Amino acid sequence: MNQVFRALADPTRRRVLQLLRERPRTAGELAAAFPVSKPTMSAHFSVLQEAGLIAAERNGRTILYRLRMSVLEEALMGFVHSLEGPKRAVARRRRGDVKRRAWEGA
Amino acid sequence: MMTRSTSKVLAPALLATGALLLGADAVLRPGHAGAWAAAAGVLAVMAFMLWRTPDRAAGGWAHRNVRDGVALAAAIVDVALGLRLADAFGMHPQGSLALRVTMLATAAFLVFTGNELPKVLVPAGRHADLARVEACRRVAGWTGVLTGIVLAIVWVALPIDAAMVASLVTFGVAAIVLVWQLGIARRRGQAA
Repeated sequence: MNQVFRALADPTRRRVLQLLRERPRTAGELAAAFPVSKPTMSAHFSVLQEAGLIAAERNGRTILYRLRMSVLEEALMGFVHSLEGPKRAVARRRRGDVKRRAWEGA
Repeated sequence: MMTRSTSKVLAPALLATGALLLGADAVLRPGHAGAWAAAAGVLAVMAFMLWRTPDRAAGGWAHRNVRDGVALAAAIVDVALGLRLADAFGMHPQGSLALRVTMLATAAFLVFTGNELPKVLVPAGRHADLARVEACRRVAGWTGVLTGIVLAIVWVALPIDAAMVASLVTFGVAAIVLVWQLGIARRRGQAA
C-alpha cells in the first residue's frame, strides 16, 4: 500500500493515470503529453508499475501501458486529486500575493 | 487487501476448516445428505482451483486474485456450516443473526470482487476495443463495491423485514445502473 501512496503522491503520475483511464496508450504518446525528459517519464512508469497501478505490454517496438487500478485505488486517486485542487489554489494565491507585494514595493 | 503470504496460508486453512465443519455436520445430521454433498462439491471445486493455481508465474498477480477469491468464498461457506453445526449442538443462533452474518459475508464478497475486477487484465489482442472493455469492467467494479457497501449498511442498521426489502431494492437499482452505464459505454464505443 505504501507504494500506491508513493505513486499517487506525484501530480505527473496522477495525470498519467488519468490519461490511461481514457484508453490504453503507448509510452511515446504518454511521454509526448508531458514537458519532461524520457528518462524521467520512464522512472514515473516504473513507480506506477511497481505499485501495480499500470501494466505494460510490449508489442514489437512499442510498449502499451494500461490502467490496472482497483476501485479502492481509483477512489484514493480521486481523493488525493480533490485535495490537490484547494492546495494549488492556495499556492496560486500566495504567488499572486508575492508578485503584488513586489509590484507595490517597486 | 491480503498480502501474498496471507492469502497463500489462509485459503487452504479455510478450506480445511470447511471440510472439518462439513464432516461434523454430516455426522450429526445425516438426514441432509443432499445439502452436505452440495457443500462438499463447492469445497472440492475451490480446492481444485487452489491446486491449479501456481505459486508464482508471469501472471502471478492474477493467481493471487484466485487465492484471495477462494479464501473469501471458503470463509462464507465456513460461516454457513458453522451456524448449522451450532444449531445441531442446540445452540440456536437467532435466525436473524444467522441471516445477518450470511448477508454481511455476501456484502464483503461483493466489495472484494468488485474492487479487484478492474485489476484483472484481458489480453490486449483479444478485444478490438480495449478502452471500452476496461471502462465496462470499471463500471461493473464500482457497482459491485457500492452495492456491497450499501448491503452491509442495510444488514447492520435495519430490522430484518426492512433489510430484506432494502436488499432487493439495492440489487434492483444496481442491476439497472449497471445495464444503463454499460449501454452508455457501448454507445460511446460505437460513436468513436
